[in-house]
Amino acid sequence: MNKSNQNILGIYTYVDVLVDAIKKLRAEGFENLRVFSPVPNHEIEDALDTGKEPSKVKYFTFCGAILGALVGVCFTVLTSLDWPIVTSAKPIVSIPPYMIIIFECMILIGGLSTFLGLLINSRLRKDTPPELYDERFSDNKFGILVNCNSDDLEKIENILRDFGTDEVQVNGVLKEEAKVEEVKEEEAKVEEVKEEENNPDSTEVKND
Amino acid sequence: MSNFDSLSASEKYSHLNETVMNMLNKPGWGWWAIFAVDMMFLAFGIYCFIYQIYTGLGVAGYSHPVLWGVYITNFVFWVGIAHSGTLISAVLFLFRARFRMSIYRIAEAMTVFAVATAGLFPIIHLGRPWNFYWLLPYPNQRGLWVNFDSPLLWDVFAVSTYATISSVFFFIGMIPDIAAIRDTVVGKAKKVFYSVASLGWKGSSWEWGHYTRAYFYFACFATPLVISVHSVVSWDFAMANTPGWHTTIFPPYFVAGAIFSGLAMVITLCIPLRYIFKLEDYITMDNFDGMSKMIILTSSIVFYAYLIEFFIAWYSGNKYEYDQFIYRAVGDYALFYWIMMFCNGIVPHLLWFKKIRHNLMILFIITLLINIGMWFERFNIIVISLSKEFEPGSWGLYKPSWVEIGITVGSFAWFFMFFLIFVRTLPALSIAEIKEILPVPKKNGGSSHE
Amino acid sequence: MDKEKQKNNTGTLNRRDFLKALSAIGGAAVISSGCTPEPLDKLVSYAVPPDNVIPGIANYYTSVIPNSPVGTPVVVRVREGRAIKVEGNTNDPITSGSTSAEDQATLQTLYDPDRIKQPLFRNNRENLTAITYVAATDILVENIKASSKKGYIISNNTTGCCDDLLNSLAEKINAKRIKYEPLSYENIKYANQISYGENKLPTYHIEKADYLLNFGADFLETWLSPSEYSKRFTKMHAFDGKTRGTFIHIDPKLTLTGSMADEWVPISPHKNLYLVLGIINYIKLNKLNVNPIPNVFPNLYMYSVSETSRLTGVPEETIIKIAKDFTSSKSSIAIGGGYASSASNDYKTIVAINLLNEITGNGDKIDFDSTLKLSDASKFSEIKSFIQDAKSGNVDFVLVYNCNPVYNVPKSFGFEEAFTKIKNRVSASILSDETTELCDLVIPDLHSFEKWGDYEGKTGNRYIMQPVMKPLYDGVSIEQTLINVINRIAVDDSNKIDSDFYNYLRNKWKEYSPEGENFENFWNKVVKDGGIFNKNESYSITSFNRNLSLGSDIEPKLKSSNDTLSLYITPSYKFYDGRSSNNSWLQELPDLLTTAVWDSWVEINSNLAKKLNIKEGDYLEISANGRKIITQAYLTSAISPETLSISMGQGHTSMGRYAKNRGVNPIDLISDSIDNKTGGLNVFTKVKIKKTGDWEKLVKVQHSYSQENRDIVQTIPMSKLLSKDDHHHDHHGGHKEYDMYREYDYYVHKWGMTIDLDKCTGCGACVVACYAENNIPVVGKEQVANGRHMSWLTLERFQDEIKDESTGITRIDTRVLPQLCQHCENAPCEPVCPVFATYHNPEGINLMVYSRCVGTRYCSNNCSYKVRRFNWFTYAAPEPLNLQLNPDVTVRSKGVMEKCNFCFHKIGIAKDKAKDEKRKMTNDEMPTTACQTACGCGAIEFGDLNDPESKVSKLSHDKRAYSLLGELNTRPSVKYLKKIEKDKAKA
Repeated sequence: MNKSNQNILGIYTYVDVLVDAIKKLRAEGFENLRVFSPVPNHEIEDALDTGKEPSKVKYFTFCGAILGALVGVCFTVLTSLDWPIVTSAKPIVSIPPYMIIIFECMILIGGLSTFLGLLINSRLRKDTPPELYDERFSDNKFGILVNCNSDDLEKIENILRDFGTDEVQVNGVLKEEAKVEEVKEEEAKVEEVKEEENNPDSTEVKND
Repeated sequence: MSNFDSLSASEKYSHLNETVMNMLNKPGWGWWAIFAVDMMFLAFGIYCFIYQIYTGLGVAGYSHPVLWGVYITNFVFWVGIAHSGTLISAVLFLFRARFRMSIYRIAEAMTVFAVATAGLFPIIHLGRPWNFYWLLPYPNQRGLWVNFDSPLLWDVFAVSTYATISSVFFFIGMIPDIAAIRDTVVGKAKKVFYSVASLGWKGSSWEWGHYTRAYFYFACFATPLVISVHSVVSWDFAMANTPGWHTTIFPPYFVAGAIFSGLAMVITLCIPLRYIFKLEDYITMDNFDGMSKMIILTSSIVFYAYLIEFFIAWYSGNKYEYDQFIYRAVGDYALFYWIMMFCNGIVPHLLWFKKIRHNLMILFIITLLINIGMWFERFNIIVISLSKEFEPGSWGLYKPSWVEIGITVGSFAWFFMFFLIFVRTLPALSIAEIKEILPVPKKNGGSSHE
Repeated sequence: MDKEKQKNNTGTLNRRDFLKALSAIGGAAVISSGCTPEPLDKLVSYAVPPDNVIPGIANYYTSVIPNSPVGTPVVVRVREGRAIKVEGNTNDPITSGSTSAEDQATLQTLYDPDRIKQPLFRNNRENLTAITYVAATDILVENIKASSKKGYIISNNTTGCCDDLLNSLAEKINAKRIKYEPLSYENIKYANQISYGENKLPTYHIEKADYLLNFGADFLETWLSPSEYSKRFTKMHAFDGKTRGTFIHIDPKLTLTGSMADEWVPISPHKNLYLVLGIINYIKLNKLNVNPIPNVFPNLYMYSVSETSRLTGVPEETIIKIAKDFTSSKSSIAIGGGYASSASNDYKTIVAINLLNEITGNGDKIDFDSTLKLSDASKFSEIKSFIQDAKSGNVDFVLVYNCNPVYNVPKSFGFEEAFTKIKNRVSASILSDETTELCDLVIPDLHSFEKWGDYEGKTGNRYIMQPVMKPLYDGVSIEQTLINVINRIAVDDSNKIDSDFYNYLRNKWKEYSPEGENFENFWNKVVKDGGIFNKNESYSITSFNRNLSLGSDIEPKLKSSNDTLSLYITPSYKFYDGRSSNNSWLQELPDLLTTAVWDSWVEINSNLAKKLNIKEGDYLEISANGRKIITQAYLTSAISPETLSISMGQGHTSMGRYAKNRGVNPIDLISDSIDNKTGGLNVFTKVKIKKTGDWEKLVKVQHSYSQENRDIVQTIPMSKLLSKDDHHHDHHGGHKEYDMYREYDYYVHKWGMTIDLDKCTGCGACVVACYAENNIPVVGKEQVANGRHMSWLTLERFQDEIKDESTGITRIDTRVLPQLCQHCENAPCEPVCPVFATYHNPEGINLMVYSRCVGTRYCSNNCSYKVRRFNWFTYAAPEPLNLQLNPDVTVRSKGVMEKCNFCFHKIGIAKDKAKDEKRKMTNDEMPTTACQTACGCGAIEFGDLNDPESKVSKLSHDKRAYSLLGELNTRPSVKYLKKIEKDKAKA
């Protein structure tokens, strides 16, 4: 079992205490946090300081839009030159109607690449392993997941409990108060999953 | 209502999830009965279409010189309906209008299904519908390219872009909600379905970060798109030289009309939905109030356009244009013209009265009338203009045939089929976004809005 | 740049051309195999083509269509053994290469799906069953031998060898011959008999006049020789750069002929005589006459202007004006005697007209040297005596050939009853009409394009009837059958005649061979030319019988009261007397003045209709002489309120799918009276009308007849035409200064057309020619009711009532517009097509590529002229009508748009020939369009606008040229020449 890759999850009902817990954890130097919420919330964002590093989705959007416009230009101008047929004594390449096509292509490809950007940036399918997620997060619960060394487990648990968590899970197992040992018995099970999936994520979380 | 208000913030969150989950329960006999009737109409519509393909377009009522009729009317009508969805989800999102939250999912669903319905008509109305793909520009063995000068090709691009973008937009908005369903739904197959559809959404803070940015950019794209699509549709007419079509007022007039009819359709759909699924806690009078006010605004724009068309026809001194508008008011199709004037110009102004805005029965009837009026608006523009053009020797009248009526009814059945499936399978209320306007659960200092 | 690109593209185009050629050869093979009675299912190409047949290249053969009244010599275009198109024979001085709608449509008679394929015999009074020609001849001979009483041979007005053979059979079996023509103008013949001593139908040289006064003769439709009179009329009436003749039409109804008139004078029905006498009397009183006035009408003095006006309903000032203009014009002529106005005593009208011509010195335009063969037709009284004979049981053999008396002898005569009393009834006919159905032995005839023969329409013009194709059903011509019968009943060899009709014909033509010329050379020449033509226009003047007196029995009758209506039966310019009714092209050709199709209608004055609360489409019951017909009302102001008008030709109870049970036959209402002097039928019929209460939409092509002040068909006053000032002239007709783009260059040719609205008579020949040339489908009545007729060229008719402010008289202004694709340079249809199915070719033609069309119909919506037609269904003509299809033109399937393409295939053929010989096209080789060649008045010109010397190029810069809806700046390649209007000041 990798001692440096332990996950402890605190589940909250109230946002204000959650925010306080986040602040406390960060003050204690635990930057490797992940917060779950059923709704986007500015207080949480502020506590996490996510504004420091804005989303990269905009680059996808911008490049997609430029690419789309270029595709539109190619479509219209090149096909017209390839097949020069006169209608109504108009020039072969007549720009005004082409602007509409170019515009639509820009929107289409720009929009699709934004979606792609969203998928790539948030890596939705390869996120948190199911045992570290609680189904109530999409209902009315909030959660803090801390990735830490096994040494820090107790300290974090204490912080979470200090800020009035509903419950604490360590590596996906519910931890009653003062029953830290039982968790260690589950080590083998947890290891399999963590080895494969958690490692890159944990580094990613650090980056955040 | 009071019951809901007495709940704590956290309980309200749960209540919302439960409400949405309840809508996804196994449907009762009532739903199945409606669905079966809907399928019958759809089957008849499909039969009509097959009959039309097999026999030839002549089974429709077209009569020289009116070569566009009910099918194109339906196309413009459905494209128009499709507009309010994206408007509510994108434009009102950018304007941070709070009343959009609880209805935007329904509106978006309506948009996607309306585009799916609208998209059928350009194919149905073709003389050789089996060759519809000839309108797509792709390198082909025939060695042909398409004519990018043609407004119909702009339509191909605009409508398909709109269909794609609004579907993706619809889907993106639903991801957190599908995740919520995934978390509570019972049954293995359903679990798998919603897991896949949720794309593994967990609601972590950085997912939300990218998500809100992406949603914002989408809204930024969708807004000009909404305006462009109906402008392009209006150019189908405005770019032609036909009197009654060839006018610069069409793009804004069509966009306003589209939003107008779309809003009316959203209200038409929301009122029974709210009643059946007991959504009074979420779809509130404030929602209807806000939409009613937008209807007044758009109705005024449309009505202004009706009147200014007359003014221009007179002021321009163009004989063809002048005759055309006189003909609209007093000619063979005058009844339809005055239905349109009454439903779109007069009726919506009842909504100035708060009592009417808050009487859902009357509101429902008003929106139905607006839907009818807007259908006839398109019919009038298309059919009346074509029936009397420049050359008096070629004038003629058009009367729809049973095949056209069958396909039109079928198209409504097609739309409602999607909608019926939608309310039973996907979250009809936007869970995540309604939570944004619900009070935030807080231990200290009570609950407050963010 | 564009040009280079196009050059680069030729690589792919060549391959496609090759494929096209391949398929064309395959198609041609299929079609050519269709010449046999049963088309083969397999594609079999000509391994060794017959001599003279090159697959893909048309052959042209002269022949003649023996249509009444004068027949039309034609050149038939034949492709791989099938006649596909009829064009006029330019050698003929009478028609000068023009054809009528009926002539163009004869191909549909040739390929009529209801043609009788084999001889039929009704054994034991049951159904007609098919037998062989040999058996048929046997039965006919037996019938003849078994007949002991009188025999009759009733035929139409046959000429040439066919007439000889019928005569010789009649002589052999001692039968009486009747040449029955429903329109045989006994009154004119009789009047000419007494005024000129010639019992004939002469030639009226109206082209020599500059003032034409016409009393109800429909000379542009059916009267005497319509193709010929169209030519003569055009000569007289067309603007020659300085002047133009005047044409006054006097008729209770504004007919197609009348619509060409400078002035239509409505008159109470059957009052022509009084008006002529009134005019003569005015001339007499004012001493305007050139020649002394003989006392033909002793009580001429009674017809004062006021009395004449009271009797005829013609305003006094009009009578005076006509009399003055007629006498003051340099050269005038009065004609008259149409079928519709023929009543008992109507010969007196003709005598009066002859007299009018005589006293004004205009008798020199009546030519008795060149008379119509129609003069030989029997009087109607002979039919009456046949009926009496048959009724009394004195007749036991009758042979009916090529006429249909059961249909067009008025029912009151009881022809059918008499006819069925005859024991042996034989019919020789191409279609199973009403008369044929009553016969026991039916011997089918061949179409004139399938057999040898000859025809003489007017004295001195003999046409050779040449088979242009193998008989469709391997039949035998009636001439050959007659020879067989004559030789069978001949007592001995000396009575026999040449057993082969071809030899018989050649022997007969030896008479016409000039002395000293080798007969083979002569024969080859006449077969090639189409016959012998008398191009000599000089004639001797016949003098008027100045001693003629008609006695004083013309009592001026009181003007008829309002509740009596008279029926005005117009012969149809499409069906003539009803013999061409089983013809889908003609059925679908809109009647010019009503644009109604596929049915009958009764024209009724709109004021009268208002009074009687009649709407258009109401079914009216029209009764007279104990009979009634029910037909739909058509409201018009172009008819006198005392008259109802119904066109002939419909109301068949048999004859084939297109004619059967369609419309009504107005002849049924005519009484059984005949004029004792002339022997002609008294057509004058008083009728009563009653609303039946039923209503149905009257099926018409056009719905709005007013121009709505839009200047669609423009006119120009003579004074303006003659003035030197032409700064108004704008040859583009549009606002050129607003053009966004540079003008497009047409490097080699730029095809264009001009249509002279002043010359066009609206006869419809161009429309039918276009159907024939371009494989235009016939859609039927129901689809026309939906506005779905497919005609690429339509004759639009506008009729506005114009009230003259100064006189207060309402004038009906009729204008005709041949409407076809305008081939606009800035075509609105082109840019809106998403798939480039319609585009502009480098020669200025707006082309429609059927195979590329997906059917959005946007092009038609955007077409300002509404000339595009959409294929709502796959229209397939029943076999064997499909054999007529022109292999050079694609047959369109459902879902595609189509329209006029300036006969693009003909341009291609003309260009290819020059290209193959590596030279430029000469002026003679310039392509012509189908409508242009069919036009008898020369109203349509087509050619290269890039060539400043071409006729079309010159005409398109004429002072009269204008573009239709020019203000739209579509810049059409079709230019119209304004109709010329009489000056208001002069009028």
